[in-house]
Amino acid sequence: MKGGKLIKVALEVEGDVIKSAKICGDFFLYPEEAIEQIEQSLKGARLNSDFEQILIEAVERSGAQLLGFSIGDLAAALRLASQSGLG
Amino acid sequence: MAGMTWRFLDTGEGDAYWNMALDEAILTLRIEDKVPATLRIYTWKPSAVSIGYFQSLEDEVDLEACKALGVDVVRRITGGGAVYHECGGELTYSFVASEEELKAKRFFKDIQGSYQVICEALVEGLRKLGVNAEFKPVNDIVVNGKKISGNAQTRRRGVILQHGTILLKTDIHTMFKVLKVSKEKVSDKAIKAVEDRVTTIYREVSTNITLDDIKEALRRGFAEYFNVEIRASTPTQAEIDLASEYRKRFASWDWIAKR
Repeated sequence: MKGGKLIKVALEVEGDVIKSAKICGDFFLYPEEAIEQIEQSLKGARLNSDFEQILIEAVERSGAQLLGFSIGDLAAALRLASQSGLG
Repeated sequence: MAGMTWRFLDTGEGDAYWNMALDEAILTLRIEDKVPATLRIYTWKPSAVSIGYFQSLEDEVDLEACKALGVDVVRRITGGGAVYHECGGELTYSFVASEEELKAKRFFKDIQGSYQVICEALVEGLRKLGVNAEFKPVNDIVVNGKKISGNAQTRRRGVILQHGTILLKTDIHTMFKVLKVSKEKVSDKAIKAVEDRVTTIYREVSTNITLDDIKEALRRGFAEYFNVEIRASTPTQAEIDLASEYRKRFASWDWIAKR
């Protein structure tokens, strides 16, 4: 993506529901701990959810600022992971 | 402490856990206003891999290779990518200042802007050595498009810690062994590709340049860019005590394998 950063998403799924999400990569997010809140926000979401909306709300709640990637990039990575079944 | 002379710390060689611990200790004590804004320069002994806060240890690092080669592994409190800090092959700097005092010297409007001003101070230093460096967003410094320095920052309670690596020379063969990213391609072609994307101080200037020359150029670069006096000093006892405390966390498997 723009800036050359990499996002890796791993989903643990039961049926079509996300049990847990792990977002890894060489991006920047401030404050760093906000990543855990963002991962939490995906718990219980269905694989066909509007990830962008979930992420916008989680980012707003946590007050996180992103650098080197956007919410759209992260939502795209989540869609890819959910399409591949197990991320 | 705001408005005071800034500080320059040359802390020499340290292991990965100590190096990361001391950076965080300076950050904490700057937040508490117990130390002034600080530029620190250090090197890594033994060689080590540092991974970014958000990176997966498993995905990025070949732990067996690190063990076999005596290379330590540490997770940073800053985001960004995995770095191989070769003993004798690179120099690391850290810079700690409050957002406010930094803005008073060089205005910026957002996080990307703060990377830019700190990297431009480094660029000023590198240019004193004859390295034709420039900042490349998001967080790189390049020479003719080739990366010479990668940088990462964290921010807590209005204080910024930015640290970064400055390459002196590269041991790409070892780098390929300890980092998984480039694993499948330990081919000559892949090594050539990295050599085409990366450059070093020794390649750009000369291998005759000393570490002291580089440190002094960086100190002067920061001083001139921010128009402030930066005086050589040593870490305070409080910094050493706090860093000793933090070091335990950086060396713990829970932290290293956190993600």
